[in-house]
This record gives sequence, structure tokens and C-alpha cells, in this order.
Amino acid sequence: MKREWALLVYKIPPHPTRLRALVWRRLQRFGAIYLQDSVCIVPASSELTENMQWIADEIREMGGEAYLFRAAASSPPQEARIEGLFGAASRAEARRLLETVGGVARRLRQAGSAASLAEVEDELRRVRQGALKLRLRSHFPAAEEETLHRRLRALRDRVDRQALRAAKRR
Amino acid sequence: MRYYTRRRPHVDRCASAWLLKRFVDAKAEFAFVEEGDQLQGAIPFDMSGADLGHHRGRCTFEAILAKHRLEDPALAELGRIIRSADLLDAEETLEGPGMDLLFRGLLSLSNDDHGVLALAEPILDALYAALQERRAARTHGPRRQPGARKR
Repeated sequence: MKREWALLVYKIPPHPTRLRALVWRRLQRFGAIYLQDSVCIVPASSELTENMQWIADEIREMGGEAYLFRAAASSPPQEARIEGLFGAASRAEARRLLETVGGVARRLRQAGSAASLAEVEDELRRVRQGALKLRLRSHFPAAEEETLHRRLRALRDRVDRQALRAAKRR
Repeated sequence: MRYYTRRRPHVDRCASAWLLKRFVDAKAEFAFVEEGDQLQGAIPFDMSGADLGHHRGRCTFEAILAKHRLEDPALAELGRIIRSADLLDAEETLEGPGMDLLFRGLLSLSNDDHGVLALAEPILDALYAALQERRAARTHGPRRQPGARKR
């Protein structure tokens, strides 16, 4: 079956420059992928299409131009390439977070004092938040995302055990 | 007053209808149309180009709060939750993404759009009650335990 996409093509007035960043952030948040500058795409679920529609309206309110299409790729290989872009974005972010997880795990092994354990807990909280946000915007999650969530659960268990042991010693 | 919006109401439309009925006009009636259609003598909400729509990153629910000067802080908090559910913004509230899932589920429970609003009502009543209680507890209860670690 052919997948449908919501394709947004827009132009934003060059000044103030923050409008560009604002739109970029909004689109990024629900997992839109840029095909090139000012051209981005999401799977055309009713909800994601609606989000694109609101952003298109806002771009026009900013004095820009925006055109929203419902589009299908011309062939299965083209469709696979688009899905591949989503997968690659998920993979890149999951790998970045996995590196952070590795760092947190190393610091946990070295964490002797209660203060350093608390720091590790804070770092873990931040990276878990990052992983949750990634899950919300991943429409074609890469295998690395599953690895990330598994490692995070394991790391959280280790942090909890270490915190309990530290509390008992006190 | 009659209001209309797009068919298959998701979280912002459900919550906006609830808000209008509970806090603006108890006799409000709702109709559903196709995207882009208009209904004479009725007020559109959560439709592209409508006054009661998304503006400057805020959702329709929040547009109604502003328009009718509803200044209840629990409703303002509910507005942020609805916004973060509707726009999938996990940075705005923790509760939002869960609400998005729940309200998408309501659409699979009923093919009738009025039926979806009816299913949503007790959920929004409950959410509002919980937010009011949470606010009351935070305002009057112990703010921070003595000696608790500062964050």
C-alpha cells in the first residue's frame, strides 16, 4: 500500500531571524523531516496533518507563504528513501543519546559520594527525558532506539540499587 | 449559541467544546463539518483561519480562555496540557503526551462525533477536578518539607 505524506513548502520573511528558528523548532518537535531548506514532510495521519496545517497558518500570519500537500512517492523505492530519512534521524539521535548513557554509566561506576550519585541521577533524568521526546517524534524508529530504551531501564535499575546501598551504609 | 468545528474531534476540539459548554454557554450546541466548510449563524472553532483557533503557538482551548477572559488558574493549566497534547510538545507538560494517546483512543470508541464529545466530558471533568485539587494542595499544603534537598 502506498503511504501518504503531508508535505509542507514554505517561505518565511528573513527578518526577524527568530521566526525561522521558531518554525523549525515546532516542526522538529513532532518529527517532521526536512527534504531540503523549507520543505518538510511527515506521515499524513490526521493528527500530524493537522499540526502541519496550523504551522502553515502561522507562517502566513508571520507574513510568509506556506503550501501544504498530501503527497505519495512515485514508486516504492522513492517511498523507501523517504522512510529511510526518518529512520536515519531516529538513529542519529538514539546514537547521540546512547553515547550520553555510556558516559553516565561510567560516572556511576566512579560515583563514591552521595553528592556524585545525585549528579549521576540528574544526568540520567535528562537523558531519559531526551529518550521520551525522541519516542514521541519517531515515526519510523530505528533499532537503536529500542537499544537506548533497554539500556536506560537497566541503568536506572543500577542507579536505584546503588542509591539504596548508599542509604543503608549511612 | 451554535458552534461548529471539523469532524472527528481530537483532544483540542473535545476540550474546547467542553470548555464552551461548562464555562461559556451551558446551552451551547455543536455541529461538525468538513474542513473548509462554513455554517451560517454559528461560530467556528479549531478551524483554519478561525478566531478561536491556533495563534502564536497557543491552542484553540487557550484562545477560548483568552476571548472569554476565563482566568481560573486550573483552566490555564488544563490549557497548557491540552496544548502539549495537541502539538505533541513534551516540553510544555508531562501530562500532555498521555492525553494525546487517550483522546485518540476515544475516536476509535465512537464513530459518532457527538458520541466522542460525550465520552470526553467526564474525562475533562475529572482532569479539571484533579488540577483544582493539586493547585489547592500546593497553595495551602506544606510547600517543602523542612530540611528537604533544594532543587
